[in-house]
Amino acid sequence: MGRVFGDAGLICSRPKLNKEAPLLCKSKTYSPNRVTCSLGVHSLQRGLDEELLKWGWPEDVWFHVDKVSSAHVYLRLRPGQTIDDIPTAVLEDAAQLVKANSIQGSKMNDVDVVYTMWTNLKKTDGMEVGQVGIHKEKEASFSVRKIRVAKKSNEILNRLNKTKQVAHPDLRAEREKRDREEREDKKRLLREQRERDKEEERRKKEEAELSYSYIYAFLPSISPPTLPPPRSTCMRYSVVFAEYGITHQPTICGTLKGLLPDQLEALGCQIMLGNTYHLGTRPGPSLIMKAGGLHKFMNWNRALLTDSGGFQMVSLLKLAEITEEGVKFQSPYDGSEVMLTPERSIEIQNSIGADIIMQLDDVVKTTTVGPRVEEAMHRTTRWLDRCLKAHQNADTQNIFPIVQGGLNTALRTESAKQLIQREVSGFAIGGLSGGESKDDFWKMVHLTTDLLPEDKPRYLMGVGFATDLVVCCALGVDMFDCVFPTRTARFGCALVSGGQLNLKQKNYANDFEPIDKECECSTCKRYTRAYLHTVVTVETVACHLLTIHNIAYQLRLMQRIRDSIEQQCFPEFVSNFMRTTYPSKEYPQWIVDALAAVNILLDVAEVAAENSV
Amino acid sequence: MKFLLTSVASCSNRIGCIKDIERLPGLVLETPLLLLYTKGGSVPHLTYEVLQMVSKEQHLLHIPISTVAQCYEAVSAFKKGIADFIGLKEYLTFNSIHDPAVVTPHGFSEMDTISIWPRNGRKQLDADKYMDIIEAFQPDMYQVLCDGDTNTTSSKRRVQKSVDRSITFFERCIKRHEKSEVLKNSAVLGVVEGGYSVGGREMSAKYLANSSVFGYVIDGLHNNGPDVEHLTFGDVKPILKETLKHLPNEKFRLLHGCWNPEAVLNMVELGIDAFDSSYAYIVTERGGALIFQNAVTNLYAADFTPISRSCSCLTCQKHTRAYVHHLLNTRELLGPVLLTIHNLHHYMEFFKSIREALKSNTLDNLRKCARVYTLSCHETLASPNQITLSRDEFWIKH
Repeated sequence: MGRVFGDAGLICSRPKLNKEAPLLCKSKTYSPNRVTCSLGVHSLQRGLDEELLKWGWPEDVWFHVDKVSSAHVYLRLRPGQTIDDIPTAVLEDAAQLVKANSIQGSKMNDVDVVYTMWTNLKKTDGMEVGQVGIHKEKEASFSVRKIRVAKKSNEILNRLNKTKQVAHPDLRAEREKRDREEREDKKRLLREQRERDKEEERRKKEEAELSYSYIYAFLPSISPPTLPPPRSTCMRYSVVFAEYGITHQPTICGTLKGLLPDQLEALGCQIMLGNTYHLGTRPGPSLIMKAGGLHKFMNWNRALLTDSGGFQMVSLLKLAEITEEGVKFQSPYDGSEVMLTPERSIEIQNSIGADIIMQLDDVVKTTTVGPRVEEAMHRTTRWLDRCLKAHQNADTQNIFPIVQGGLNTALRTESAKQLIQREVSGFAIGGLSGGESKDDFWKMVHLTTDLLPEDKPRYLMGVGFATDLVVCCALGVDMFDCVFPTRTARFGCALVSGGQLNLKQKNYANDFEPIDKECECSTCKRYTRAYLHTVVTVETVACHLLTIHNIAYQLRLMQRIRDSIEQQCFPEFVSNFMRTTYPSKEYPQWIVDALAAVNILLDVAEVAAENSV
Repeated sequence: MKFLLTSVASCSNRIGCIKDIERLPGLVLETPLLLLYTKGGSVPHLTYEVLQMVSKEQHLLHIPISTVAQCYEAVSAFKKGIADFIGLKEYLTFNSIHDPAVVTPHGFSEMDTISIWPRNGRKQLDADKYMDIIEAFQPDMYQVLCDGDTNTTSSKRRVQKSVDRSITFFERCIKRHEKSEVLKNSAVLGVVEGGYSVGGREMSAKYLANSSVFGYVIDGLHNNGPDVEHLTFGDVKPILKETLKHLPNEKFRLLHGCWNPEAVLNMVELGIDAFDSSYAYIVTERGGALIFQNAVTNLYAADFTPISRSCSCLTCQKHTRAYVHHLLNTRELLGPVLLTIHNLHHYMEFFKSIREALKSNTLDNLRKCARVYTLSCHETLASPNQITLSRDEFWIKH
């Protein structure tokens, strides 16, 4: 029952051009954009007008001759287009078409054609067939436009007529199809958004997940380093005796993630890090108290360290607000406002009962500059004093203060100077490893270790890449904590000297070697890269196997560092290590500089010579 | 490899053993036997190191092809078989087709192929492809390809098709097996199909009864997955009896699926020799511990007793319900590890007590206990407060 014009798509129907209706015609001038105009005829095809009116699309623009009766012409915009985007040529086409299809209008000159979005049309039960009202005429955003047609243009009409096609569009089906697609589109977008949110949440969670890391550290009743610092480097070695066993330093931590305490002991792990934020929410301090402390709760007989819980709050929770009183945040569980004060942090850590506990510090992003850094540094000292005052178990638990001061030499110096006046058994270096340049990083570590007392352990928070460990040991750091070995295991990566293997990669599918032939861990003794490739990131077993290997790797590295210090050949060890890691001897400049600062000179002569040429 | 029914004086029960295994001489596995269910070539959640903490014995590993099909190319290149590839060469291996812990989708059987669903999507296997995989894997024991897509609701037509096709698959697989050099020491199990049709079972069983297979898998009773737990012995008893009637008494019989312990006991009595441990797996996955169900209730949050006082597993020896509860609650990876250690240990002990009860003719006592156990499960789900430990402790006593 219809006819279509051309290859672009204006729907048109009229008794004068053709007795049939509707007609789809395409405006050539606009054909690249595929605009559809539909003309419903009001006289013969009243029913069709109604149909078009009923099943129009929100993207349709409706044309009609002003004041007199005419056919209806519809122009379909593309998604995203607005009524203002219609090119003048197309407007003219549509206007000519609508004028030609008006019994009265076709005989008049200077005819006004009105056009508006289909959504603005109003059809109520009381209206006659063919009669149309308009909503919200006065609202600017929904305004009805006018275009004046001076006189008939045969050129345009002939062109449109040439492109006409007969069509029998099932208007209802088309509309329903469109609506369906729109719904699906919306759903897809929503789904994608949800996935993005989930991914984001997962990433955040991982970042904050330290929940059971363990540290190779030393403990409270500090004994002086058993060996004097050899040569002029700062690296140190000591054995520390604690309530829960002996630990050696320098030491490192990783995360427990799925390993049994027995396996950790077998690996030689001596101290574990528990995350106060996570433990404080689940299972909660009162339950841990009831169990007789975290050692008993998890059946771990060696040393434990807990953080203050502040870092997780600031990094996990967007809404955290720091005031002099403490860290205020919204509980992720019930949305209520909660305040973590220095006193509360220590109270929770007292009930957990770890051997080393951390003061609550005022954490600012490492790269922050300005007065906020200074404020945070002074507040950290004030909070330390409140922590020390609130501490209940001074005989069994040791509080470590945290040196702050961002990347500002003066502030860091001031922070260290304030903190060393307090009576504590060790110090943590905080506020680093947060996106600053390596150059800034090592200088701050070097500066801080120089200021801290020789006979007390220094704990560098959040550092754990192999090269960083070696460099920072040389700079005089004694203990580290890091989730890197276990986190990377969860992504299917195994640590090896010189870097890591991503076992997901296809080239390991037929590789029947162990991860590392030299490695003595239970994974390397039994499992091949090819098998790990088939289960990695799918079975939890693969995560356990890689975690074991990665922890064993880090532990071996620390053992080698300790051995070399003991044998007074640490500088040689560092040189060898760097050569293995960077076989081309193209060492990053910050490593060269940092090591040179403690008189370990890397063999960079040739490269340097080449560069200077 | 040999299967022998050992006759114990004053005992008419079916007890036996698998021995003279070519690859592992000296190893004797007693039946009724528990096969260790694996996924992707590992006992779920357990590395070799931890598996050793559960049991130092050598077990028969149940390796469903659908969970390891993605290893096929690598194992072919490796040339030493699946046991070595997955790092568990001290263990005996058995290959089946579908994963008993996951529902096998219905309606994908075709004339010459059946479908499996490994990680990378549906894969169709015909007899030749299946035997290619088996030859690469070199298992100590395997079942032939079969169409087991039948359950209580299957139509006659479907049952007939499954019987006919399984016979064709059997013939093709056996042909390949006889020609194969690498499989000459592997034991083959024929697969009895026939759904819940007496006629179908008779036809399938009679056909296989005269073949020279090592034993049989009774298949086609369910479509796998956790729901098998809710099937009762009453549902399958008549058809199982009918099937076993036609099979030679002296051959090994295996049944897949996560049957509940009471059903297992009854089927043992009927004459089934081996089951897989997928039941312990599905219980772990829903956070349950055998003995008490659904550890994830606050009831256990402050319970500093072990899961079971009388249990000798590492989890019960070293950790409390409160700790396991906490790990499950915070979704720590260690949670399922500790639960698997307990559940697997518990299930192994259950099979030990079955064997002992058979020898001493005290299966009835054990059954009473198993019934109480199953009851307590249901009570637990309805009202967790009613759990008492004593009620569930008997498995170990036997």
